[in-house]
Amino acid sequence: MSRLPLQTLPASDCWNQIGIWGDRSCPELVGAIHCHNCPVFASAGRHFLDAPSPPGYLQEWTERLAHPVDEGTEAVHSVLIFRIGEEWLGLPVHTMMEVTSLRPVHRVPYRGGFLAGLVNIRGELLLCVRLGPMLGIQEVSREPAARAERPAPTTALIASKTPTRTRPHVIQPRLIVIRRQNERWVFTADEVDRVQRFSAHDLAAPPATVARALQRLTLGVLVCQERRIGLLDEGRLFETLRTKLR
Amino acid sequence: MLVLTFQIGTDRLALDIRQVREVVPRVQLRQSACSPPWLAGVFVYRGQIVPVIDLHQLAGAGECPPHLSSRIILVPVGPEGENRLLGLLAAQVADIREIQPPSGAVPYITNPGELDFGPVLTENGEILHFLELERLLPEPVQRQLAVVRRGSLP
Repeated sequence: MSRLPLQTLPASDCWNQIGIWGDRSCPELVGAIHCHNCPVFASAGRHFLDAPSPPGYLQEWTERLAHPVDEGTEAVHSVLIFRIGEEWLGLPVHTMMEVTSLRPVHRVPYRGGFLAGLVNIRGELLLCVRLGPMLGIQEVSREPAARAERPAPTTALIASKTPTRTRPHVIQPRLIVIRRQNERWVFTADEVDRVQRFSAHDLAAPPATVARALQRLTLGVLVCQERRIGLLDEGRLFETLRTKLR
Repeated sequence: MLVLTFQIGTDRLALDIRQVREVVPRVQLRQSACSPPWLAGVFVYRGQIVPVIDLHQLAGAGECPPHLSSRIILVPVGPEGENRLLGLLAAQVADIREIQPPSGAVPYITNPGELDFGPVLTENGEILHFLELERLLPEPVQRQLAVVRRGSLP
């Protein structure tokens, strides 16, 4: 092994003697500025790879390379999963700007309907929309009276004792800020779950039973952990938001 | 031009990266008893059987050192679209660098039909062989490789 006339090894650790970690008298430093940029340092680093491979290394790579790659050939989309009412929905993460905690939404006088009002997101006033009614989703009552009947802490406690769930389940409504080019909208989701990766062939056609407004805005249905998630068509969603609210 | 550089014995070689499909770590190669010494063996790469040539053996430079930096360079061979691969086992496969295309390179003189590492050129005071895949393998090696492929792939 050592009979190989390898690339010239520096006689010493010159970077510690005359280089950046030494007295900095190396003439190469004028051009290279830092030893990191110097080919001598780089080639010395590469000599770490001239060690024998560790045990099991060949076997591991033999097995790893034998398997055909099934990922990478297909486009994979990352989708943020959230819930509005009883409906689980997904939007591609590239439309997401922010998921943030609930904050006061200030009503706009004489404007109701799908427009919930203005909301302050990092010092900017953005339009907050009621996505639930727009998609034709039955609004789950979030009135104070309903909260009193079924207080949130109790629900969380019961849920955490249920053996089927492993983690304590805290349901928190969130504000989601979405964006396309310079359009930005805010909406409230009753729960935000996670970002999940899907490939195009996971997408199934939406069932005919969903509300028409929702069906029109849905690309298809994804199944994730026995949950059916309607993947929203971002293009149509922004289109609808613009036409319905301006 | 970006080239992948590696070492065979005392020679430093450069291969145009456009001719490289992938560089993979050294793997366990299945060798058959009657195979020539330059054939390091075959391995399964993504479901496809790929023969690997030990360039050290082929050049008569001993064995390829069992280092981490000894890797297999996978290059496509054969007609376009057939997606056949050939592995070249070489040492110190650890660097990609920019070189001037060898226009005024000195041709490396070999006898016809012998192993040819290609024309030599200097790069930063170092002598590099600019590898040309079509000219690399001697005629008998190419013939035998074809047999290996036919034998292992129905």
